[in-house]
Amino acid sequence: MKRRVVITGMGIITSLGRGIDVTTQALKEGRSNIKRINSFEPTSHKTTLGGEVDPLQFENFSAGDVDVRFWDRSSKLLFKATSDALKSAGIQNSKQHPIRASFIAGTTLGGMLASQSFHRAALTGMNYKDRAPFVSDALATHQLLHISEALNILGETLILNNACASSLSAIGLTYERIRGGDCDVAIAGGYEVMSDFTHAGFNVLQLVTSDACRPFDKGRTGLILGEGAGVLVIETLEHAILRKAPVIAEIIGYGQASDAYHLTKPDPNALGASRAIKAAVDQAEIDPGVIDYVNAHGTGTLANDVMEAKALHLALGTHASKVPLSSTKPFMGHLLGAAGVVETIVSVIAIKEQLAPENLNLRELDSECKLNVIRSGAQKFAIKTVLSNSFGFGGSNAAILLKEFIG
Amino acid sequence: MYSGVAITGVGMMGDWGAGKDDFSSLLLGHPTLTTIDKFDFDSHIDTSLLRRADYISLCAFTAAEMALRDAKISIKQEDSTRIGAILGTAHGPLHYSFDYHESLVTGDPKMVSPMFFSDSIPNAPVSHISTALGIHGYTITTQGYCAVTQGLKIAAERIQRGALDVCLVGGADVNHGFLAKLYGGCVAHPKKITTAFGGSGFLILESLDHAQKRGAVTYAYLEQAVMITAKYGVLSSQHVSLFDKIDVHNPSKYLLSVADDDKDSKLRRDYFLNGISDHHTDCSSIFGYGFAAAESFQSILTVLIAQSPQMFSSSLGITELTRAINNVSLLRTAFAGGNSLVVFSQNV
Repeated sequence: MKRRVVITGMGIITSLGRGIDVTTQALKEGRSNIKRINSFEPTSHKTTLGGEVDPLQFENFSAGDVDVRFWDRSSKLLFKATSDALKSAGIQNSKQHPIRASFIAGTTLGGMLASQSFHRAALTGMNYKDRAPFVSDALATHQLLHISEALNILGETLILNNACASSLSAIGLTYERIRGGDCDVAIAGGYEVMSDFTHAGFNVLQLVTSDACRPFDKGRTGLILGEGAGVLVIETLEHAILRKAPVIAEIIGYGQASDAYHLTKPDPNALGASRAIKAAVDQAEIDPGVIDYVNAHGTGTLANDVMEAKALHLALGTHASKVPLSSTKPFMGHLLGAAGVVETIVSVIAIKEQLAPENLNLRELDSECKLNVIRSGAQKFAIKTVLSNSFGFGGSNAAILLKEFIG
Repeated sequence: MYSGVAITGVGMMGDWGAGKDDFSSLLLGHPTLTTIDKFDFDSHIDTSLLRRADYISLCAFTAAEMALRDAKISIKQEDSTRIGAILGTAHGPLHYSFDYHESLVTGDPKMVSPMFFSDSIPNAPVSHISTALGIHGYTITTQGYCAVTQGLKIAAERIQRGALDVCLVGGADVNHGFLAKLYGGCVAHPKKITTAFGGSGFLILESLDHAQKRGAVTYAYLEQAVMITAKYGVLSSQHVSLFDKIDVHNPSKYLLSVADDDKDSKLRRDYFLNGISDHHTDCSSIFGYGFAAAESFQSILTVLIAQSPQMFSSSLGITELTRAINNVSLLRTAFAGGNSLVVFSQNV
């Protein structure tokens, strides 16, 4: 069984702000929000920069009548994105009427903030028992449980970890289940929070930059981390029509493959990444030439960007050097496990607005990346079909194809 | 309901030993207990393939290789893009996470080993497996208290859709002294978590066509894998059932149940089992705490009982297993509202 699968709800919160409108405006204006990190002291690291969510977003936080005193930032980010997505999809929830749908979320180190806080207290002789109520958030699975309880979502909850491809894997699995007839409607997304643990890790791996993040630039020196969450409501077209839901875009293909090459380095021959992209194109049953815009993984690291360019050439052929492409990581940082869903939402915005965001901070294109990278501002042109890529540690590769919805 | 998803290999290791013989000893109550840091990995795997990896990766790789050997699958002779690997875990690479964080807190952050960080990401074990074995298909890590069941479900879906021929599905978790502190406030017997545990179990899921073409021996078939997340209060008001399609009162079917050591998990188990007294055994105490490792052992035990119920009647003390049983289910009610059911059958 192959059914048409559509997106009917979206919620997003990043350093650019909360909501689709705020994000759209920032993308249009080419306005990034990378600043000095405030949630922990970053001075002992190579870079002090990050894309943090405005702390005001967490003030006076509430989630209905659920006790949120012991929720950490990750749960709060995910709650905001999920409730916004449900609202935009027109899905009502109440104590009497639960939302009977699965919720699949991807994260890389979703529980780390609570875990490191507890561990640090124990290591430094503080009273770690005071922090015990926060410990439930040390496991990402508890964060989904918090959201499910607060929003009365009754179904399978599943946390997927596929490093920086985690949330795209969550969307892909949800899409394939709906397409294959396993369910009619489901929720998918991802989240990631800035933490000392993660920031220090990427610093010692020499993958971050103290300069700006410059994907595909000859002089790029690394990535900058960010935080946030994104959530989609995904359903069959029939189900959406039946409940008169607003159809935002259609998912037409998804692919996932493994490099089997190295824990942190991508395969320089790009075989895994190109297979993921080809699988998405094959599933969509399209000619690669119809892809109008590519939202690249584009981390700004030396190894990733060359590999991604190679993967696009292997998978799309000559179209790879023509199709307009940008990475939106310079806007909000690399959201790791949440990158896939946030960039899927950016891709949907590109379709809705017929506007491709600029690849910020590009000065001189790397000659090894023979791509049509968007510079000098966002570009308006006809965008019907978009490819979005996510790649991660451990040789994780995922790609999704989205299409303008035509009823 | 799945059809044509065969289990053609199993592999298991832990602080109690490795392989089916040690596993049987464990069931008979004669485990060769050690701690995972004393486990002789070199006698089972080529540890140079996983140089500097965390214990969880070593455990998972040992069990995965054992399962492949049991299934007589050589990945080099297969289309490796049609082979997948899924690992379920609750805590992932805890040792490296805590070691890395400790060196971060107590030392100079710039001097911390980058290897500690990259190996502390939860998908590191499955990445080690795919890299060392050359698996180029779908790989993923499921996290939570029903992570193995969820891995079985994803694998069965992909095999049924024709996207994979073979998928390695397993669970792994390794204890760390810090876990007792973490769980201190939420389990009935927190001291039990200080007991050493660690290990991994893997099952080989294979499409029936593929298994038949290569003449593989089948243990059992995966019929169903279901998971819902809901705490007892939610369940009792919403009448949720995991048993919609399973006739648990049929004498040819048998049910094993496992409840985690907290009040809510036990209440949920009782809720699901309401009215089911025949053909059911509580096996919560067999593997104790062990999170996804225990879940993988429980799943393997269910497969082995489905294959040969009579063999386990004495070791488990379940006299009903002497009857003709062709379908065995595993119901798990776990921490954090996790409820899962997995069903294995002798029949295609």
